[in-house]
Amino acid sequence: MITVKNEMADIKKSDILVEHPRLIQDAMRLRELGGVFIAGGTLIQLNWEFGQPLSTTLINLEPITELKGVEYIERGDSSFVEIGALTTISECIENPIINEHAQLLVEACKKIAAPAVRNRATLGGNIASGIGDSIPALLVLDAELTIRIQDETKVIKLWGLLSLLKDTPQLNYLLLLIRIPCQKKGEQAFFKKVGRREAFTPALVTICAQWRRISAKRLEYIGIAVGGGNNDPCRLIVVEKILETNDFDENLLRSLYLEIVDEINSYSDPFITETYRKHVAANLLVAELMNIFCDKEG
Amino acid sequence: MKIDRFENSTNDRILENKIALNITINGRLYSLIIPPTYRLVDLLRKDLELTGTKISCEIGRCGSCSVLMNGNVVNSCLVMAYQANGMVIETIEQVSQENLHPIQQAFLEEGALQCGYCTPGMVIALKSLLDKNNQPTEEEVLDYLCGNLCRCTGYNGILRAVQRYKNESSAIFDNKTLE
Ligand SMILES: Cc1cc2nc3c(=O)[nH]c(=O)nc-3n(C[C@H](O)[C@H](O)[C@H](O)COP(=O)(O)OP(=O)(O)OC[C@H]3O[C@@H](n4cnc5c(N)ncnc54)[C@H](O)[C@@H]3O)c2cc1C
Ligand code: FES
Ligand code: FES
Repeated sequence: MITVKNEMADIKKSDILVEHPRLIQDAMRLRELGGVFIAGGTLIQLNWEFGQPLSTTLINLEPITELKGVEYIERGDSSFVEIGALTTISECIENPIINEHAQLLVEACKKIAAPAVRNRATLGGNIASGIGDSIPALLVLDAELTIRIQDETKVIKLWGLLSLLKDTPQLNYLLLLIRIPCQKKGEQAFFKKVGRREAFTPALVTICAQWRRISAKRLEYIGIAVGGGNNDPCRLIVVEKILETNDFDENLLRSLYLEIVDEINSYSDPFITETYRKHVAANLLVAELMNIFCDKEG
Repeated sequence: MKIDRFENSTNDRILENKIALNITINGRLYSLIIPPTYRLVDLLRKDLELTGTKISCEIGRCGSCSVLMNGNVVNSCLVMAYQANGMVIETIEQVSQENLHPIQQAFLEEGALQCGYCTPGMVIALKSLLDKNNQPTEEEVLDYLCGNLCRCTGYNGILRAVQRYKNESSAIFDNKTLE
């Protein structure tokens, strides 16, 4: 018998109905009736096995063709990569458009789970999870999302959606598209995920950045984000500002360390304290900043 | 292609909540009536007795249940019946239907298995890699196998087997170009 180790809800996994809407409005209607969206289902099944209550109705997003595909878009002076929410993590790694214009996202996707999971898991599901490893990269890339709320389609920055979800965690929204401004010439980036094993564990902390330099000691611009595990993903706005408005030297690095520890919002679990996580992130970032400024050719 | 009609052993449990599933497994098309969330791994092992596919963690972490779905490696413990509808599945039984696959031969020759529990999943994952790229670097192999855990071998035998496979397939290629 297919049952799930779950004392909270008296629903058997085999009782769950799966709906297959083809249209966005039908998916939204089913969501308002209490169903739960499912894309690759990798996270939902993981959560079931860990005892999260089951929903009686799953709304399978796969038949909605509008949620598929990757496009390169030019508008005036700007260009974007537009990625359908159902694009799998493997497709993100292999897609030539994403590789050419949003390399940081590719680096992030390579650190998510393993190939067999990446073949099923979607980028939309990773973002909607609120804790996915793609989120810090997309925050640094200043990604914009097209979402459906009730019968309205809205465009919202990723950080905007994350803060909206903090206030209204039960918000009924469907993520349709992820739009990323193309990386510009001269921009460099790094993505680091620290776990307890080298591969395939939830992150202790994930940190990434993208920057452009104007001189050996000065950055024209830097975006830094921290996330991973159950950390609330966020940009380190204060640290970014300090780096953009000061020449780099050892004193700056020392004061930055404390600022980084201060700005990160982390958490403790039975294995690792909040302080430890913050220090890991700060050490990583400081080491990467040393690389940026020691590599004077870059 | 032969079409099998197959009634699930769990039939009596839920009369209403079932879907018609058409699925090709190891070259045979099955039409099944089963609950939509029934797992592919259970279908393979419990109902079709294709027990070469192993099951261990049940949450996508160990890779012992790996199968190919439309040519791509997936964890069959994470694939539900409705998600497999219309798909082509290949299990370890298909890989060695007539002869051992060269990667299986290399596993034997290099002692790449001890208890062997992880081996079907390893072979499936490697087949999916080698079908796309038959001369992967060691880094690519390690990345590809990061979702397949082995408790016994320490992975060295497995890496030696991949190296042997690579050497032998490049020798075959060289002979062909000489001809
Ligand atoms: C073994 C294993 C290892 C993993 N390792 C990692 C890891 O290293 N890093 C990481 O980030 N994640 C990891 N995950 C979690 C998960 O696989 C990924 O986050 C994945 O990208 C989720 O995508 P999905 O399509 O499977 O989501 P689903 O499980 O289908 O959905 C996840 C959540 O998003 C919602 N949702 C899905 N699509 C949409 C949409 N378009 N609009 C609105 N809501 C939506 C669902 O309702 C659900 O709440 C792992 C999972 C497993 C099983
Ligand atoms: S049993 Fe499926 S990955 Fe472990
Ligand atoms: S040989 Fe025993 S788990 Fe790999």
